[in-house]
Amino acid sequence: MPIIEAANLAKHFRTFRRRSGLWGSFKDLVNRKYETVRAVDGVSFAIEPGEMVGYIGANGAGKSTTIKMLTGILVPTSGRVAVRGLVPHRQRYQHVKQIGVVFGQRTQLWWDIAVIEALRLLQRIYEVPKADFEARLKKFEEVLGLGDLLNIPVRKLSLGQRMRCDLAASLLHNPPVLFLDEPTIGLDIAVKASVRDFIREINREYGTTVILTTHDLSDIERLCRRVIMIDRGRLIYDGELKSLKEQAVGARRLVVDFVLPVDRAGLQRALEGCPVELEGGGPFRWEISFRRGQANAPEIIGLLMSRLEVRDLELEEPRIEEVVREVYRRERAG
Amino acid sequence: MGRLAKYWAFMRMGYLTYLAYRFQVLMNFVSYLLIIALNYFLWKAVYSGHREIAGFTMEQMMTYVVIGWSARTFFANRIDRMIGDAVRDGSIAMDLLKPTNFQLYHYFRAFGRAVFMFLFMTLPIIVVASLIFPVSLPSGKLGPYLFPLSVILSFFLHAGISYLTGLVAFFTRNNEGVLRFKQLLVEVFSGVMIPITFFPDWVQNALFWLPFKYIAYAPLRIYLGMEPLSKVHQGVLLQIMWIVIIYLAGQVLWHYAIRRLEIQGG
Ligand SMILES: Nc1ncnc2c1ncn2[C@@H]1O[C@H](COP(=O)(O)OP(=O)(O)O)[C@@H](O)[C@H]1O
Ligand SMILES: [Mg+2]
Repeated sequence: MPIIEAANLAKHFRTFRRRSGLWGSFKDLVNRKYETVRAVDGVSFAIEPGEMVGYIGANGAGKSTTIKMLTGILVPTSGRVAVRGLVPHRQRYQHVKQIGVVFGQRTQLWWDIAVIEALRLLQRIYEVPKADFEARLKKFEEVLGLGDLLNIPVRKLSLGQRMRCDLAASLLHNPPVLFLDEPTIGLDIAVKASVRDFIREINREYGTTVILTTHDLSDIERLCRRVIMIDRGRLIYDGELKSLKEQAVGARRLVVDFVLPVDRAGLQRALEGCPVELEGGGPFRWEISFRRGQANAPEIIGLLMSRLEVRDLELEEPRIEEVVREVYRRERAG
Repeated sequence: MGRLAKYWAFMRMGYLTYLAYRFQVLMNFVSYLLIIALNYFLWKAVYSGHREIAGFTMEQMMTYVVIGWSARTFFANRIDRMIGDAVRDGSIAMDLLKPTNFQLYHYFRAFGRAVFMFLFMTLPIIVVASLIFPVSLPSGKLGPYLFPLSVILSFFLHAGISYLTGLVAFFTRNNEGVLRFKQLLVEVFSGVMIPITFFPDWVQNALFWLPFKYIAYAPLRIYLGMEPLSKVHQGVLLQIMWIVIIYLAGQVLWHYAIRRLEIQGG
């Protein structure tokens, strides 16, 4: 039985557009122009216990809004949502006890008090037995390297330090479900890696169900087999990450720095026979886009290395916007 | 046990938060003493040639001023402002994600602050002010016992009023206007600035039906031993009644407020 279910879930915001100028603000008083933002527009999915699901989409796609409804802090405009049989916004009190939540841009700790004090407060708020609290704290301390941070007031932590503390805080009560909204946003690579390792370990050890939103595909790659993708409030893909990448992610990009200036014609000659698109405009740096199936990276790199003098090259992971575009392209074609 | 520990934890948090701002509090301490001094000279001028005004002797009035303003440091709270800020910046989301009664969370967090204020403001002000100005000890049979109780009730009464004001932010996004208005009502009609007996009769009658005067005026009358026993009991009961009414109003309003909430940002 699914642990998380959403059926036709929707959230529409009614915002009113302010007109500019004095006359405009007067008109606003008399006659407001409302418009509806369909932040989430009829999304359905079911998630099984123990799954780690990546909920992805470009900026403004509706990821955070979905998470807010799943966590019970936003009331859906329509549709159904249930987590372990509870309706989040109706049974908020019971519901929030069974979930852990981390919003990358916020903290659940309190700015002015030391991390350890904040964690002790959470222990009481979630009614965690003292022995369990100590054991978990010890473990999180080790895995996340919290040691020195515990006595610092939250407002003095760096983003990466704060994120590690927030992760620990969200799991003190050992919730069966964990929601992470952009948990790696703004973190440097080392911290990103430790956050990912930690999430994976929690999932493996406690069987915690994890929903993770991100617009960074590499998060998903390291953690999730299944992805759900939304765009403009609508679900556009739900399935294995592997097949999404194999089938949908056609466009890849190679960024190449040359020792000597190279013009477009020269580069085209060098890559004769490879269907590629050139961007960037050189003369020292070119971005070479190609589609999986039509060309491949080793072939292109081989040609470049043999015919031109290459200083450096980098194969970029597809960006989420491109993946979204690809999925659309496929839908229209199919 | 678990529930109690939770609200104890909120108090502790409120207390610890303010501990981080000891120095700002010290500044406030000075301004409170100034207000009391100002009142002293004002009343001294007003009382010249009068033994009693509006039922208060000069000594009673000075006691009223000192105890009133120092009690104010205890029962004042920032609940309305905190809720307003949290709604505006979206951090309200993090509060809602905790298994708590939002209203009691705010009451007890503010009570932790009040405990801090009591230790670092109320007591020092009383001590210093009574060295400078004529202040009498609580009088009457019940004053010494019922006054502390009554001031604690004042705290929860005022907390309730602030909470309701705070919830307005859910409906209008910006509750600054309402917040100012509430502040004015409390300053004027709680009796902190001048005793209610200075107002015309019709205002006094109207105030009987409102909660404000039970914040400061009623407990101060108890302190001064100016009420007969039956009235003291009545006053305390009315405080409790208002606390309950406002608490319930808060629960009902919350029900509507939460539906209006549109949390901005990531
Ligand atoms: N409280 C709100 N009021 C009006 N519009 C909102 C509100 N919250 C989000 N939106 C809009 O809804 C859309 C989805 O936002 P969000 O869920 O935050 O996207 P994501 O997390 O995927 O970046 C955006 O267009 C955003 O501007
Ligand atoms: Mg977001």
